[in-house]
Amino acid sequence: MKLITLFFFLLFSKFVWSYPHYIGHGYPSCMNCHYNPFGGGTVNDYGRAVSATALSADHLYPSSWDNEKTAYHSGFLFRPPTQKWVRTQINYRGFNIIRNPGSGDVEKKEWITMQLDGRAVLKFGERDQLLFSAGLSYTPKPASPGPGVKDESDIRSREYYVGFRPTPSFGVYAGLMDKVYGIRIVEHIAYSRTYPQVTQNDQTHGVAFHYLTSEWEAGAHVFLGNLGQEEDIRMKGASLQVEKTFGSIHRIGGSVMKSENEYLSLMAYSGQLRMSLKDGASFQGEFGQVHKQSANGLVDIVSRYGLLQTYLKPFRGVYFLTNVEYIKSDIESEEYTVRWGPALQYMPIQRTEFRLDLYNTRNFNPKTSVKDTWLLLLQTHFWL
Amino acid sequence: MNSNTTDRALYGGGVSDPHLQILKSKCMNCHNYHSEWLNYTTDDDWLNYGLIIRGDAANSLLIQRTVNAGGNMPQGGSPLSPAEYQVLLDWINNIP
Repeated sequence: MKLITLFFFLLFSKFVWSYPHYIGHGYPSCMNCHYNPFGGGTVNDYGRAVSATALSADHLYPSSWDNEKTAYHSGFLFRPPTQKWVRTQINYRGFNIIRNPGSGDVEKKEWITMQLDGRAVLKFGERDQLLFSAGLSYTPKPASPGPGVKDESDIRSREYYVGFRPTPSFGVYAGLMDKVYGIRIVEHIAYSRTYPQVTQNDQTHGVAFHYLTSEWEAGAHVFLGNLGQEEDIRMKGASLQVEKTFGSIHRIGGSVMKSENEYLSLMAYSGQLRMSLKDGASFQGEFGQVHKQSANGLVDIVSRYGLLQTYLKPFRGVYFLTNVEYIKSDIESEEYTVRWGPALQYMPIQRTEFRLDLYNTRNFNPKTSVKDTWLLLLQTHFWL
Repeated sequence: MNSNTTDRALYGGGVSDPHLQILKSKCMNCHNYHSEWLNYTTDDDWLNYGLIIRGDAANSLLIQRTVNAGGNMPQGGSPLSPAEYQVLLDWINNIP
């Protein structure tokens, strides 16, 4: 009963936050559903209840189940927590990737385990003021790994940190975490994630500060690189991100990040916008620039990227997405690339997600024509 | 694997061979994590893995995949300039 009371209190409270495109459901910040205020990692009790009752479809539940009953079963292993100290989560995400579908011998099919995580959060205080979060992930290496990759373990942690939140508006988090930069979308192959080097495995050790009010959300991150790597290749640096709420339900902001190791320095800037349209629909965009310089003088290049995504929710449990990405890998070149396509996301029941993405990549080059590439991506995602 | 795992192999030290400079800046900047290209440090490595044919640039896979030869590489990056392309042709055609 306590959980249900908490659920409805949070549902109708003023400050509710979450996943970037879930701004369309009225959640401008990630913090309401995740223990990590910048998003990702273990989902909290409220996030589980929202996922079960607002995001997933309800047609597979018995007709006697209402939202209260569904929320009641949204805890780990379908049970409400019996204590308040520990929360756990298990995630699996796999992709069936078909490159150039329907093109005969050019077609390539591959199954990739993208995510297999076990996570736990130990938390203390009425508001979870003190928390310890950790996770262990299976990260398979590619079939033909490059140097330095072959020796890496298939098991790694993508997150372990201690967080302390003395007031509801301010918190400090220290440990291994994702870098605070840009819109933290799930599509980690997006140019907006690969060029600034904030992809699925780019976590870093450091200290992050988080500030949140009804008008502003900000994060600052000072990092030492991933201490699991050899020191010469650890990317050390700092980042800053600020977002402002406007029109009560939209967000506008920007990020800046500087990082470097012995071989490479990277400076990245971005501007970002997230808008809540209506009833789960949303729009989000990020534009940025990355300056990459190698110490040996081989590379000194400025790249510019863009991301536009729209989410429409025709009915509960289904989202229709459009994704448009732009990359000009050298701003002095006339050439640029656009990757775009539709996607369908279906969450038939809580803890289950199926997603179909079609990507077309087109290269625009005034001097020559390049054949388009196509990618069909079938994703399954389950969690407990 | 982090985005910078291959930085030492990719950007460490000076690169004296002109063809390796081009391969590193135009090809291996992407062909690193999912391929073994950064492990290829000698002409024999490139030959043994079938990416080039000794003395026959025109029929070498590495060349055929470039935009300059009608392929689509480098994808999402600047194409090889005519001078860079010529350096690769000369390298392959002159491997003893």
